[in-house]
Amino acid sequence: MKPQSAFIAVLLLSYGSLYSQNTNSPYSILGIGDIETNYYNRTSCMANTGLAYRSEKYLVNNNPASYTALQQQFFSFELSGRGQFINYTGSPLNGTSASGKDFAIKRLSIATKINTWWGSSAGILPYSTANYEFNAVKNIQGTSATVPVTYDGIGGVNQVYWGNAFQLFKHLSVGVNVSYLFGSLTQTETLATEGLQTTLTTARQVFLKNFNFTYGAQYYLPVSKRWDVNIGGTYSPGSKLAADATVVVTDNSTQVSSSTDNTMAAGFKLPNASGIGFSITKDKKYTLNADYKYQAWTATNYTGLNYSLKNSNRASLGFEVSNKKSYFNNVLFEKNYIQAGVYYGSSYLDIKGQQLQERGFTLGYGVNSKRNLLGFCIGLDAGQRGTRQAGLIKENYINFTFTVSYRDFWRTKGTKYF
Amino acid sequence: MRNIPGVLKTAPFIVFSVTLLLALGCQKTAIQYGEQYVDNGVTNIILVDSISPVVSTIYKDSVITSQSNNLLVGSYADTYFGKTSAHSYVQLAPPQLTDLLNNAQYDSVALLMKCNGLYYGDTSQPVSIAVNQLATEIKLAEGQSYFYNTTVFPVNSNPLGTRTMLLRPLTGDSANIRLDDAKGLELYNMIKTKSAILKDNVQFTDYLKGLQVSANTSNNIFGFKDSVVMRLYYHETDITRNNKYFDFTFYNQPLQFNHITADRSGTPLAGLNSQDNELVSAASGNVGYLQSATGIYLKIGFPGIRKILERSDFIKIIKADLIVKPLLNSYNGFNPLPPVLYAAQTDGANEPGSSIASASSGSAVAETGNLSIDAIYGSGTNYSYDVTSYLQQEITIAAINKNGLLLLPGTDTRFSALNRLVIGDGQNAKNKIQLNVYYISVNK
Repeated sequence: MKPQSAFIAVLLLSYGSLYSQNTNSPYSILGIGDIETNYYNRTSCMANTGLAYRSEKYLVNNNPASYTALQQQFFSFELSGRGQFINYTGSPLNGTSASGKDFAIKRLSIATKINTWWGSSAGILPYSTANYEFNAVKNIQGTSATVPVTYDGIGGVNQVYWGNAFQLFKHLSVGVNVSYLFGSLTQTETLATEGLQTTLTTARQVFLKNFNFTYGAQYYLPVSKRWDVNIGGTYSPGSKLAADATVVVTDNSTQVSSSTDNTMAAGFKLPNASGIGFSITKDKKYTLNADYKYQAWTATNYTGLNYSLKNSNRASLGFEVSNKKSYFNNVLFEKNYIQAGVYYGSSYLDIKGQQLQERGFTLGYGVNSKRNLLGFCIGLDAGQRGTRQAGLIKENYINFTFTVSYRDFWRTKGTKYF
Repeated sequence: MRNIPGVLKTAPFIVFSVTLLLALGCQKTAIQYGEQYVDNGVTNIILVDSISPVVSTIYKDSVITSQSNNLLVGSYADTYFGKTSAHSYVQLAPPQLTDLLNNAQYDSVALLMKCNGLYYGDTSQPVSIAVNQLATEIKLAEGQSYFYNTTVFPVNSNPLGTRTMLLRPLTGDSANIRLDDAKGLELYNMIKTKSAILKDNVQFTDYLKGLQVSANTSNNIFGFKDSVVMRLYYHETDITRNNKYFDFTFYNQPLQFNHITADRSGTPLAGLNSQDNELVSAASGNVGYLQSATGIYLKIGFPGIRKILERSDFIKIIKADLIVKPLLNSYNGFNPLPPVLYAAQTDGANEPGSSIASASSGSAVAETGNLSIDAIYGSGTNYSYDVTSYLQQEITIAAINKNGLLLLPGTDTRFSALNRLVIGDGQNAKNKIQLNVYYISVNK
């Protein structure tokens, strides 16, 4: 097996651990779970600000139009992961605080520049994740007795995407990401009592799937010898995730009932989403990015039990210092870079009149190996989400993200490098 | 990848990533949030206590009473069962013969019986016990293996001895009944002459036949160990007087039996006989009866259990408890409840089959009713049974049937203990039998 094949195999295997996430995210019981705002790429440490960002070496999946920026004759692999520490406070915790932690591989992507005007990328990353667990009691009907019950939720929607970017004019690229969203959300109610000698589980599993398209455009212009300016935008029309739901009841691991749940037959509507970004670079070294994104959830008219969905938005700023070195033929090689970002947004959840807010900052550092084509980036994302008001929960979190990038030469007819 | 030193250069990042991974591990903390977003109405556990078991009293016209290990003697009357009387039959073996001194003198002969703790009725009243010699030998008829509560053998009309006494059965008291000296001397002379009759059990049985132990009083019934002894006392004078005795010991256990009769006239049980052998509780004042030694069995059936199948949400019975309550004041220290009652599966033939069992620390243990006595108010006194498995099995039987559970003492006391039980059925106002069925409900 060639080294690069082995590497790909390792990457693919790693993605299997995507589901090993264990952090309790109490709000993920709502909707289709927590919608990912993180792209898990080079922009992660700039608060995921990158609708107008272009990179020669890294896959900027924020905007499908960016793939035309990739260096020709290379193909790239990227693997990203996240470790998370969360602390929870709020009245449901009765004055105490709880914490959780986990680690998961989040993204796997490949990309190549097919020719001078066409860049392409494919990969897999989460669209939403659900993960929660809590205890309650259930009344034995006909008595005043109760039995303890545990609710456990897990799952999420993944997206497999294939993005293509085309350079239309010298300074304009357009792109489209075709995503296939698929996944399942499983909520398991476990009712275990010693007195009744039963472990009764009710697993409600909702399978979701559909295509989703994201269109993007980037306009990039070296306005002077020192300054480069980019503008980018994306638009994703709303679509509907088809939902099939089953409810399976098992008693001490014997299935006693299996039925279809029709409450989800209408499916789950995804909203129109749009975003606009701006990027300015000085001396190919200092870059400032700004993004604003908007998702029109209100129009999907979704109301859940005791909550509703509202338009979400997110504003972020990212700054990068890239240390490059000029080589013999005046080719710039990026040795390393540092990044920082801040973000503020409202999530799509509106609970008891409180639309959940999220804010935080990011820091990151990346390095590219000179001798081979590996690149590494590690980052920190610290922030908070939610509120302690109205009986809700506030989450303070610290995420560690990393991205490993591996590039190699594309097999061309002209030159065989290995 | 082709260049190893380059890879090594990235080692710090790999170390960082691995360290992070190890530090994080995997754990999920329960956060008490989200209950209001859960549709918890799909699966439920529902208690149904409206299914009334059918209680009936079963009459067995004959009950095996031989080899019961005890002698039941006495008679008593109660308001529920009428008059119950018992007497017992035993055979004795001749003693080991020894040489007697010339000056040996006969003193007396007595029957010694030790209480085994069984009793029924007012033990504060005296009992008058009579011992009669049998007129014919105790013998099983051809093809017969047991004696029944109805069996009788004729006796000589004059008793060998009678005695009226107070017995305290729970303290291991014993009854000592002096017998006729004429019979004593007769035996003594046979010992002295080393009669051939005493050297052979068959010959001796042919001579003595056996003894019947009965009572003339109607206050109580006592149980005695079957290890009865007829003791013949004599003395010899060496330098001093030495009191000595010969023991005629209990012999031929298979032929020991109790004759038990019940005069039920004036009670709701009066109409029961071998043809009309089942009395439903509705016809007996919403009451069911049990006294196994007199052939009164208690049957509890569940013909209504399949009603539960009509519920659209029904999935499975997960637990079923049967609680059987004795009538208030139907038991007391003189009339104790049966301490152990097995629940034997039965059908229309009303013969006891295997007892229901429940799992206890991994192994199936026959249920004993777990008698709980409410000594203060009495209303809490009950036997309880886990009938989960039984009803899970019964609910699958579509055919109309007369299956049920017979409540019975263990085989050790089934035919000897007179302990009675009087219970209320589902319509009984005060001591209602209860069936609590918990089932899994799934709303599809």
